Amino acid sequence: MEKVVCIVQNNVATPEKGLRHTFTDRQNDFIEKYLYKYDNGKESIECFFPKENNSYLIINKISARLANNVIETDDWDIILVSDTLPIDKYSECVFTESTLFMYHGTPNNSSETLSNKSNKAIKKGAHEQDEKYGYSRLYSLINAWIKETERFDIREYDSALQHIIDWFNVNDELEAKLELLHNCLLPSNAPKLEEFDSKFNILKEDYKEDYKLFFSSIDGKTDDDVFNAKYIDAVKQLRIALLGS
Amino acid sequence: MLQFVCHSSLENLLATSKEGMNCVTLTNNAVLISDFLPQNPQPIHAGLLEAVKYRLFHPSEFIFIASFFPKEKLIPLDTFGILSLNGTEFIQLPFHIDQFLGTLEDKQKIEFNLSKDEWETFAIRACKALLKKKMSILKHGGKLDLVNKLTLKIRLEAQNCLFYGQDINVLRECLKSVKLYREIEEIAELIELSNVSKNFPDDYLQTVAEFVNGLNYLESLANEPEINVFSLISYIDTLNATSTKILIL
Repeated sequence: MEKVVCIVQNNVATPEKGLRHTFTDRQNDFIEKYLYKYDNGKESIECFFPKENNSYLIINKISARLANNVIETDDWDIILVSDTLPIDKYSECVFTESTLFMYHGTPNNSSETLSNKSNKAIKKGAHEQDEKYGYSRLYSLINAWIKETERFDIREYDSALQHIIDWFNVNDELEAKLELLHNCLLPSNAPKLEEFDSKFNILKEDYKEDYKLFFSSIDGKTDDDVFNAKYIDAVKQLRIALLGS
Repeated sequence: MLQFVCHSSLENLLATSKEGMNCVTLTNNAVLISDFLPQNPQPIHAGLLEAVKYRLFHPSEFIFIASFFPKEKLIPLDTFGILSLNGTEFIQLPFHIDQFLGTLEDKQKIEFNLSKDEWETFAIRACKALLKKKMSILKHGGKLDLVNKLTLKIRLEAQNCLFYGQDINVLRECLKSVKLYREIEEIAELIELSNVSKNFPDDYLQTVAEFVNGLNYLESLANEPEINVFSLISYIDTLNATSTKILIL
């Protein structure tokens, strides 16, 4: 099974960012023990980051522990690592053949550095409270924590871990294709070529020529042309180019 | 009236042809659902499940499902068979608006009737799957657990009234929490689904209906002039047992 390294921003001083933003209003025992907790409703205490000795939160089916390093013998499925730790300082043990990286751009971590070191998938997430952005999926895992036993509920844990791994397989390219096709239903919505490059960056390499062809065929068309068979045919051709049928 | 559960571009496209839309006489409600729903966490093919839910809550309204994929590509993903159910029309995008408006009008003229068998087969399967998914969410971490979140406290207050002469109004106040519990989004959705399926001949659905009836009854007690505390305790025990039964079924 794949392992996950999740680079997290967890600064309690900026609740509008990072994990505190992801978990707003969703406090639980795990968060209190390992991530952050509140003293009296106003002051807060950090459990993980920015304390130098707690750069890693190492999680496996049995338990979780804070650490300043990961070593070869550590048994882990998922590691949360503070984004203040530069990637080139990461323990080599986290770069396994099956490690997936969830990251969020920060001054210390660039996707290039990460992709140079990783053999498997790296994917940029965001801290928004929506599962499509990745970080929010961590909640199902930490919610499997049982305070009394200081262990995870194994069944909950397995399904939560799979849920996080599934995020890496979410088909960004197909989503972009469908979004583009929907945008093209109306001539006024169809992105200009430079917009295509920026908004549909993921499709740029493979489908730029198809889109250019579509865009030139609709040049000068207005929204009144949506009733025009030629316009519909142009969208159909684009659909065939993108989806194959 | 045509409702939209779709990508905003598709809705805008039809708004552009407002004139055409106004020419269409819609005697009944209908809905246009996109297979791709970007607002959904898993947007690709999310519309298929939306269509299933829509059908459950609106058994007599026409559903149009629009997708850039051909229908045959969606059929293997259509777990509950909504695409082949009477009253669903598939449209591959892009479409000629005139043709769509024509189809919309034609379909409106036809009264579709799902046979009892067809409806029950579809609805029982869909309701059971959706309810089981909902129950697994409720079970998750015990966050919405009935006993911990609701009935334990009511039972304790009832015991206090019965054995220690506590004022019944304390119990009555506690019973008001049932309303709040029922209003939690996940519980409200569960109740809604159970209301659709309560008359179906299926043990699991009947047990869920029993559970929902139990919640309704507890809520109603808050306004009763007299409460039989002894029966209430026994009722709570039955309700707790029903709730456990649903979780393990």
